[in-house]
Amino acid sequence: MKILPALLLLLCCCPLFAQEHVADTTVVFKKRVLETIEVDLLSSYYKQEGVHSAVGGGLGTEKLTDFAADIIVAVPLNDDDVLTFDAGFSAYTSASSSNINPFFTDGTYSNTNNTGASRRYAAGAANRDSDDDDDDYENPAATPAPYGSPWIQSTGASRKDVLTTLSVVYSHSSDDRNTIWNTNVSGSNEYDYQSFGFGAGLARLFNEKNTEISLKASAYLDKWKPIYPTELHEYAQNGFNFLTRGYFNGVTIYDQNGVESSNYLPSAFKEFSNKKRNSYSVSFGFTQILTKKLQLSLFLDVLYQEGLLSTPYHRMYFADKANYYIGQARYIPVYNTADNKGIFRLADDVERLPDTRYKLPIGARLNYYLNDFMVLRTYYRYYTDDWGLQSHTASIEVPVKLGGGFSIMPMYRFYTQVAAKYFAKQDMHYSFEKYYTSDYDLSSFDSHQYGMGASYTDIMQGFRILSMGLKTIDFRYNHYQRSDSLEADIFSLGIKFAH
Amino acid sequence: MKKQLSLVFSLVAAFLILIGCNNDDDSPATANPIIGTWKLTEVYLNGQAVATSSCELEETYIFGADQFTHELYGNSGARMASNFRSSMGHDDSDEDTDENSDEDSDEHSDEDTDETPTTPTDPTTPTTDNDNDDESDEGSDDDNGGGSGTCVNTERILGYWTAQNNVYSLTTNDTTTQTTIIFENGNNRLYYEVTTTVNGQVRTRRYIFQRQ
Repeated sequence: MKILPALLLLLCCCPLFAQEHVADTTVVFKKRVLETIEVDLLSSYYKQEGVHSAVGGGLGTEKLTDFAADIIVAVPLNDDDVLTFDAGFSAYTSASSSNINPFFTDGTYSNTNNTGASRRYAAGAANRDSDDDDDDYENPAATPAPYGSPWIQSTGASRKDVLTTLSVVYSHSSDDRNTIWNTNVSGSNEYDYQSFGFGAGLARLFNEKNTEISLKASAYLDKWKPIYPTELHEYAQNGFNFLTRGYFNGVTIYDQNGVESSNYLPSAFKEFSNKKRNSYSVSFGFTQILTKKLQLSLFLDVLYQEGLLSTPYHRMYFADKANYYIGQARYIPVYNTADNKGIFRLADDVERLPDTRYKLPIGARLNYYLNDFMVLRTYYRYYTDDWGLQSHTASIEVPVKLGGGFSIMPMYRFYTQVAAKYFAKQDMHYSFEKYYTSDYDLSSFDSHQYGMGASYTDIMQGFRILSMGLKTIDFRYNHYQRSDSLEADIFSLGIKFAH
Repeated sequence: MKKQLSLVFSLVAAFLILIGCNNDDDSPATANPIIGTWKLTEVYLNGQAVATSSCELEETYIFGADQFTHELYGNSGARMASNFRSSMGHDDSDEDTDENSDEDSDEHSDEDTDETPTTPTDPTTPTTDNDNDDESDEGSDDDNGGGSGTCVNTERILGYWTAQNNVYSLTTNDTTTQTTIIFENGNNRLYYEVTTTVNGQVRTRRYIFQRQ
């Protein structure tokens, strides 16, 4: 029912296409939209480090590496029509995601040198100093015990995943090349998330192609296969007796003072009933060539999302709930630092966010051709949504032609964001609130991204592989810094071949 | 060309100004030097190094922002040390009882481990007595550390701490003790001293810890 607006938009576009076909018959000469088959090979390597893992409730390593590759094949069907296939994958390893189940038993930690001591502490803390009971020194058989830390990567299955994507775009240009419409379908799949999308767009050029107006509508119908933090999953599976069943059977839980406890009860948690996430968007664009050297583009998007907009494995820790841990109690005092090599705090709940969201980005691009070998590309965007998040993005890129087909592209991007109203740091939310998250992607922060690209264009396509000639090769490196300590490096390589 | 270059520089300058805006700086204030993990490396008694076993040298303090862990280690099957420092400076606050317990424990350890007769306390020869005491203490230390069995964590205490200058207050189970801690070597080494009086003789033990 909710996809009705998108379908209506698609239908509205059809009469425009039909009218445009009538006009086609009057054109005598036309240049092919795409001369030959083109193949783009794109790959990227991304790595990041940070200290605000959302899986750890806003605390813990965000170490992540990702390798992605795409192949894009554009096939001219005739003079006017182009069919483009885009297939890709993205394989990541994430310490943060691994901690959906942070507990592992590798034998390096056993409950003999831990439980024994803490048992004493729990049983007779008052007479610790005088306690010379030999029982304390009995050395029970070493039983490997589970431990974990938000600062180390666990061996959980969710530490790595592969996202596969496929999309097909069909585009048609009118004979006078003043009208271009396209439609697309796409799908993606990863372990806990599936997405199916479709859309259509229309672009119209006026004023001897000096003015362009475009409209695009798209819809994504996604579905979660939710994975929950282990401790909450166990609670959902086994109910109030979960500490004596399943995973927790025989596992020691400590309170904030390192004393054994059986009081942990994440009563706020319940699994999500709605597992769908649908996203709809409409984009308006306007481009105007102002002078021989100056070009301006304006855009406005309206996006609407509904469904499960929370991430089911983002932990929450409430200010009004006691702290409970699994692992090596000695690290409780340094839980919040990377010195914590062996204890993990049990969650009170997962993040809860509204099931609808309206987003409104509006922005502009201004390109100025300084001379024959240098262009100034600038970009600005303002974003706001009904979760209270607001942001500004500004970027500048200055491609410089060096001659011989070589170019360099220094760039810089600045971003600043005001937090969503549902964000608070760990232990700052209360359990009676309706919505809450400690995901730092929704916090207030600034970020800087700077980098350099280099490209080579082979006009003659002298280098050939399997009858495909090299057209361009493009390499970029970017460094990303966020004021919440997140840092990332991005390497990307793009190679375009033409038949 | 000059105009174009100045335009580029103007835009770059504008971005640099933007960089300075809205810095969400949540960097903490200067951290207390005690925060970190500290391991026992040396023990001195009245300026003389005390033999300390490798197991005893596993003694560790882990200080967080407001909480700490103190762990003591001993060999399984060996006797428990009679004068545990369950938290920093605990002995300091119990000087009176320490005197007694020190005596008691020394006697015990002498009897049990060395099987040597207790040297009668001679008020006129405090130095000799002190030496004997020292020796028996060291012997007792050695026994605990060098005994047979696996070195295991025998005591773990979690508590809370505060500091005013170099005076640290450690609270465990509603008991607060205060200790002056001295930092050395660029805050990578610390020591504290525990002074007791036995038979009118002042005995000062210095415990030296190294940051891990």
